[in-house]
Amino acid sequence: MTEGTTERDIEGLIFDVDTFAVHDGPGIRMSVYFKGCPLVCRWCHSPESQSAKPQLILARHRCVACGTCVQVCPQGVHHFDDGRHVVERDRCIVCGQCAQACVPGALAIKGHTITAGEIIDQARRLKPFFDSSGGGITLTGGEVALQASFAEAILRGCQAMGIHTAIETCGASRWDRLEKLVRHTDLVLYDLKLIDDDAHRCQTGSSNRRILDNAARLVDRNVQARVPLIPHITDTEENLRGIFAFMGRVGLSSVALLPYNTSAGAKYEWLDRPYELEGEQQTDEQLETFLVMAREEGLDAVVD
Amino acid sequence: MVVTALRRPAEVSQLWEYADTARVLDLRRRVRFAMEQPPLSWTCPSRIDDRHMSRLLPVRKARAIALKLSLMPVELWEGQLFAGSMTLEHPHVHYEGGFPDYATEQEHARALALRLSIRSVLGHIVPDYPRVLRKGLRGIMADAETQRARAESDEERAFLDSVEIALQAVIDHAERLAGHCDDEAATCEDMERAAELRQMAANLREVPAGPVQTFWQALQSVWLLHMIFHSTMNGNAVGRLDQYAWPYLEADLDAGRLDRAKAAELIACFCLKFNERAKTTDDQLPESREEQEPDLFLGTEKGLGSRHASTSSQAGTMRDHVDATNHWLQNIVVGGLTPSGEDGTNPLTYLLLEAYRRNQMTNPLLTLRLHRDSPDELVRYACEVLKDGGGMPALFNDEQLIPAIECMGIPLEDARDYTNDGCWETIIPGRTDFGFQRLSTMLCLEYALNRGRSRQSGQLRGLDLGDPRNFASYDRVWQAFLAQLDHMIGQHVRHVADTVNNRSLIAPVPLLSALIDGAIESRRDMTAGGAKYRTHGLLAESAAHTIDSLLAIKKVIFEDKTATMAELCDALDAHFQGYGSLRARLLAAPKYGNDDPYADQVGREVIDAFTSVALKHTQEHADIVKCGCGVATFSWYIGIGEGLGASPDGRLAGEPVSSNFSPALGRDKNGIPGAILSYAAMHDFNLPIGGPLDLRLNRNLVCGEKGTDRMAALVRTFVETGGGMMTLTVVDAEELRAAQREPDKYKWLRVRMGGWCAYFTMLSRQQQEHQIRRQEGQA
Repeated sequence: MTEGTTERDIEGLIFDVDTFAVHDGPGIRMSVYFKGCPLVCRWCHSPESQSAKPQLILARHRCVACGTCVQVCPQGVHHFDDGRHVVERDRCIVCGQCAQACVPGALAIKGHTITAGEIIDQARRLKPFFDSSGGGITLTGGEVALQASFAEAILRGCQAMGIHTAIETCGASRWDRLEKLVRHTDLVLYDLKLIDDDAHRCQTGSSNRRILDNAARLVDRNVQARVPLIPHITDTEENLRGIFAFMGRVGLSSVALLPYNTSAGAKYEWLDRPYELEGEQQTDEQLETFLVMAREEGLDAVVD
Repeated sequence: MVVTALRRPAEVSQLWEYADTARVLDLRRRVRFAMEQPPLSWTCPSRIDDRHMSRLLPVRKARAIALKLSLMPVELWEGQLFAGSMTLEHPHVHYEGGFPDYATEQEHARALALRLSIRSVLGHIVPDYPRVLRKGLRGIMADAETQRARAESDEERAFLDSVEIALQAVIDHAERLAGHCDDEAATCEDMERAAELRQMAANLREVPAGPVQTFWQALQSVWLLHMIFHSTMNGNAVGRLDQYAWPYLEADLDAGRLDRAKAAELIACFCLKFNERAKTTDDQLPESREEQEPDLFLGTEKGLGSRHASTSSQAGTMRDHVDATNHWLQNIVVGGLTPSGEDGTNPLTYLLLEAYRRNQMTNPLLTLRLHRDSPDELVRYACEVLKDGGGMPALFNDEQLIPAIECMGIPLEDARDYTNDGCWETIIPGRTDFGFQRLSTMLCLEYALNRGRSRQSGQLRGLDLGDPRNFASYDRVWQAFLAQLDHMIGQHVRHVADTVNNRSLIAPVPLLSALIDGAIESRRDMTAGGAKYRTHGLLAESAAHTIDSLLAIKKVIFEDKTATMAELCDALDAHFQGYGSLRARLLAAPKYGNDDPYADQVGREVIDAFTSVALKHTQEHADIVKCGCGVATFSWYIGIGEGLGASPDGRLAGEPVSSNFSPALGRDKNGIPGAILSYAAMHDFNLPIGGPLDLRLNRNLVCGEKGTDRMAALVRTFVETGGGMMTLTVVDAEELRAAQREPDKYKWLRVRMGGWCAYFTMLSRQQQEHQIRRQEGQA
C-alpha cells in the first residue's frame, strides 16, 4: 500500500452483488461475486466469472435491434447480420459505451472495480438484516483467493463490525493466500468436485492436488464442503464415495450436496460460448441415496 | 387480556390443527361456483314514499335506508351459520346496487352545482363495532334519546330522528331474517340444522339490537351491519376484529360453549360471507373485453365524484374499474399494540390468518400490524400465509405509524388503536370521518418542465413559470417544482376547507353516524362534522418517478453535464424518439429503492417538501380537519401512467408508474433489502396515512423452512428499520404466464393490487402484463 491509503482503499474486480442470496450460507446474505477463477469447470453456471477482466455480455432476449450500439461503438464491434446481432469480441476494448447507450439493457459490462471500503459500507447498512436472520456477507465468485488482499480487507472490516463472514472457494490457490482469508472467515464453503485427478484435470482444466492439500489444512476451521452434482460427471457413486472417504480421512465433517441446476447454461449465450453439458436434476431418491452414503462415512450431510 | 401462555409455538400451532368441517368445504365450493354464475340484478324502489318528503333531508335518507332494508331478500345460503346477504345463491341475485332516491329537485340541483349527488358517500370509514357489541343498537338509540332534550334546532332533532329510524330499520331487518330462519327450521328435516337455524333466529333477535353474549352473536352482529352498510352505498371496513371480538370468543372457550374447532368453523363461515358477492364471470376475462382509449380529460370534464379538479394524472378507462370488480374495502386488521401499549396478539389473530389461508379467496382483505415485540411465531405464521399467495396480510409497522399519527394531533391511546379504511390508509376506528386526495408530484414536475401544461392532454393546469430550457441550475428546477407543488396543494387544501361539510347537504349518513363516536353527542351527522376526528389524507402520487426524475436532472444535466436542459426538454417533447442515448443516461442515473445514499437524499428532500408544503397550507384549518400525508397510487398505476408524458427518469409517455411507494419498475437493482432500506429512509413519522412498499418475491427465495426463516427475518428487519407499510407477493413470473395460457387451471391464482387482492385471470391484459413485468423485475 502506498502512503495515505488504507485497507479500505484496496480495489477489486467484482461482477455482481446480491443482497438477498439464498444458497451462500445461513440467513440473509450479501454475496459479493469476485471476477476471475483458476478453474474452467464445464458446468460453471457463471461463465462471466471466469475471466479476470471486464467483459461485454449480450442478453439476446432483451435486444430490440435498435442499432444504437452500432452507432456508438468506436471499434465497430457490433453489426446486424440478417437481423442477428453479431458481436466481434476480438475488436472489443470494453469501453462500455454500447452498454451505457443500450436502453433495453441487453448489453452490459460484467466486471467493475470497487473498493473494499465501499463493500464494507454496504454491508454496514445491511447489518440489520444480518442481525435478524443470522446472516452475513459471503465472498464468492469466481475465486476470492485470486484477489486475496481485497478479500482480506473486506472480511477484516466486516468482522470488526460483528458481521458473520463466509467465503466460497474452489481451493485451487496457494495456501498462504487462502490462509490469509480463512483467518477472518467464520464459515468456509469449500468446493470438492472430483476425487480422481485425471478426471478433475479433464473437467476443470486443473489438477486437484492443491485443492485436496488445502482442504486437509482446514480441519480446525468451520468448513462446509460443497459438491456440485453434475450428472454422470460428479454424481457417480464412485466419485461421491471417494470424496466422502477423503473427507473422513482428513477430518472434514460437513458436506452440502448441490443438485444440478438445469438452467446452468443460460449465461453462456451472453458470451457467445457454447454450453456442452446436458442432464436432468437428480431425483429425490437419488439425493437420498447420496445423503445416506455420506452419513455412512460419518458426515453431516445436507442438500442445499 | 392477552393470553401469554398461548404465545408459545407449540400451543399456538394447536390452534390450527383442526380439519375443515364438511360444511366449510361445501360452502367454499359453492361460493366459488356462484362467483362464476352471471349475476341477476334486483330492482330497488326508485324513490321513498312521498309522505316522507316533507321531512328534513337526514330523515329522508334514513327512510331510504329503511325502505331498502324492508324489501331486501332474506334468504340464507344453505348451510351458512350467518344470516344477511348481499348476494343470494339461488337465484344468483346481487342487490348491493340500487338505492331509493330521497332528495328533492332543488337538493339535486344544488348538489350537482357542488359536483355531488346522493351517491357521494365515500365509504372508507370504520364504524364503532366495539360499541355495537357492547351496547347493542338499542343502547345507542337510548344515547340518541338522551340527546333529544339537549337538541337546540330542527336540524339537530332531525339528525336524532334519522339515527333512530336507521337503527330501527336494522333491527327490523334482523327480525325479518330471524323470521326466515324460523320458517326454514320449521320445514327442515335435518334436526341438527333445524336447531342451528333456531339458534340463528335467536341470535338475530338478540343482536345487533342488544348487547352481544356470545362469539357467534358478535360475528353475526358485525356481519349484519357490514352487509347493510355495503348494501346502502356505504363501503366501510371492519377494523380490528381480533381485538374487539376476542373477549367474546375467550369467554365462550372458558365457559365451554365453544371449542376451537367450532370457533374455527364460525370464522371460516364468517369470512366466506365476504366472498359471496365476488364475480369471476367470463365477461371479465381479458379476451372478452374491448380495448379502450384512455380518457385523458378525466377529472376536468366529468369530475371524479366530489373532487374538484384533478390533482391526479389518472386517465380514465373502464379497464381499471373492471379490474377492481371484486374490491370493496372489506379489510380486517389484526395484531398490533392495544391502546394501553401492550401487544394485542391473541388466538383470534391466528384464527383469522388461518381462515384466510384456507379459503384461498380474495376477501376479506387482511392486514397485520406488527411492532418490535410482536411474537416471533406470529411473524413466521404471517410469512407462511404470504407464501400461499395473494399478497395478504399487508404488513403495517406500529413503530413508524403510531408516532406519525400522534404527530397529526391524535392522542397516543387513540393512535395506538389505528386501523385502515378498507384499503390501507390509516384511520382511528369508530371515531373518524376520513377523506383523501391523490396529488401527483409527478404532474407538478411535468408542469414545471412544460410551462404549466399537461404533456398528455396539452391543458394548462399548473403555473407557467417560464421556459424550462433556461433553468440554469438544479436549484432553479427544484424551485419551479416547489412552486407547482405549493400551487396544487394550496388549491386543494382550500377546496377541502371550503367544502368540508358539503356532503351533509345531499348525502348524510345516519346509520354510520350512529356508529361514530362524537356524532350523537354533538347531534350532528358525521358529514356535518359530528365525528370526534375528521382527517384528510394528502397522498403524493407517482412519488418514485418524481424522485428519480429529479435525480436524473441533477446528475445528468447539472453534475455530469452530458446534456442540457434544452436537450432534455426536446427529448421529452419528442417522447425520446431519436434521443435513445440521452434516455439511456437518464435511466442509468441513481434511482430510489437501491439503498443509495445519494438517491435517498433527494428522495427525502421530495417527501420533506411535500409534507412541509402540506403542513404550511393545512395548519390554519387544523381545527376543522386534521391533515396527514401519505404516498399512493392504489391499483390505478396503469391509468396514472397513461396521464403522464415522458419523464426525465427515462420513463416513456403513458407507461405505468410504480405502485404506491415502490421503486420504479425494474429500477431497484439492489435487491429487496436495498428497497426496504431506501423506503425506510423516506420516513420520519411524516407519513401517518401510509404508503406501502409493494414487493415481489420469487418462490425460490422463500421456499422451505429456511425460506420462511429468511422471510420472517426480512419482515422483522422491516419493522426494525422503520418503514411504514409493506406488502409481499410470493409468485413466479412463469406461473403468471402459465395462468395466461391456461386461465381455467389457474382460476384462483391471486395477486396483490395497489391496496387489495385480485384473481389474476380476471384482470385486463395490460394489468396482467404489468404484474408479470413486476415479477420479472425481481427475478
